Amino acid sequence: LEDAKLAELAREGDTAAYEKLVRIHQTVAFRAAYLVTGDAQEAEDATQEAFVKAYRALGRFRRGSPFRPWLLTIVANEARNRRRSAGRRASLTLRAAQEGPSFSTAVSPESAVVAAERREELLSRLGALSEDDRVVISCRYFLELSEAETAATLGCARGTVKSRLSRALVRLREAMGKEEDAG
Amino acid sequence: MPDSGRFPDRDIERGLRDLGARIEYPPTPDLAHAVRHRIEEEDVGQHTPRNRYWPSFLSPRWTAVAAAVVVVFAAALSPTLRTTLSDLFVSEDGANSGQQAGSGGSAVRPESGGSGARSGQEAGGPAGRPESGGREDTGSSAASRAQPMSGEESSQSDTAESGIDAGGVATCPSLSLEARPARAAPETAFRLHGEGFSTVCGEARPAHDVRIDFRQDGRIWKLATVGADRHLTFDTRLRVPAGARSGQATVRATTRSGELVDEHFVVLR
Repeated sequence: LEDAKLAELAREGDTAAYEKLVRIHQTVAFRAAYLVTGDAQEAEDATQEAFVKAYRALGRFRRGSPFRPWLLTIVANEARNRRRSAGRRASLTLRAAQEGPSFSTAVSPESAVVAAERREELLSRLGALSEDDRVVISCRYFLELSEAETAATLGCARGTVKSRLSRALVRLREAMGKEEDAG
Repeated sequence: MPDSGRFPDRDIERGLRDLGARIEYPPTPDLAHAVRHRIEEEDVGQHTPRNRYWPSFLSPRWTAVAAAVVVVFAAALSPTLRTTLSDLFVSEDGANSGQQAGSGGSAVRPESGGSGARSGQEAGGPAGRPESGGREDTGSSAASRAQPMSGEESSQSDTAESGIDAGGVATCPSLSLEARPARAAPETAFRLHGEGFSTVCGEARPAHDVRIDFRQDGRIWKLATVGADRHLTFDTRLRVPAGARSGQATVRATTRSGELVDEHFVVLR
């Protein structure tokens, strides 16, 4: 509701409202751009440019539609274009904090060490996946985007997100399994 | 889907969510302010009516590109125009002691009247613009071709005719500089891309100490010293000085040998 109201005000030329809208979405937009470009500076440029373009395109934004997927489409397009024009592959390096929230119920020091090792392994295996696999997994599990938002970010249909994610998880699991076998 | 090893599906998904909560992203920049400034500046400026009511293909950028294409074709197809241009350059060559610019043999064409190549939005282009660069510039980047200049803005009009500035710095038409965006508020980041930066003009050795200044109303901020890569280009990220005021400014890149090039810049409120 907040988005819709701000978007409507922005459409009428209220730049203060748009500034609020940017503030609400800049984190997810920047992170999505970062996942695509793999470069923080490039991601910042892409995000800023995308927000300006989105403002100019508000006239084409369908009233009542969720703003975030629409915005992410523009952000991801801008990020992809920049990466392409820079002529390089994204080499995304993600790092996991040692401390922080965990879904794990492990509390003992030993369990904590095991959990940390497992996270590192997972991150390492994820980094070895193809860019498509890595981005779809990152969108869904790291940015916690919905399928629609992930589809917007990837520039594909929702059904494609499902199948691509499923295949990516299979490959990740296989990679983890190989690691297990090797160990 | 069958589970394998110690990571069945649900464990993988749970592990990914756990990981997701711990991923360290670069800090999110505060873009809201800069975005608003850019939008307001564009709205206030001459672009607003065009952007709102003109079709996108009539935007200044595309109009400039179209104009350039027309001129090139006209020059290529019309013997009369070709002759006229040729005569013009020949006479300039005579006046300028036969100076040539670029591999294509086009002459360095100084700006008449010394109005300065500062206004990148103007058609006609700046002084010393190489005709054979193989690249079409539009918008602000057109302002950034190399010019013969001393350290002071006011000297350019005196020197344009000769192609040598008051301080004896030779023109180097291969230099170019482009800021993206070329309009930004103080403390906002922008990217600066330079091409043709060699130790000595025309040589293939990259310049390793190119000084970047931000200049406005007689004030000069040293932003950085950068080095060109083996392609003689550099790409660096800079910030508009906090003390810059809204209005026109210049980003200047100067090599150790004294060759320099300016890029027109607009500081937003």
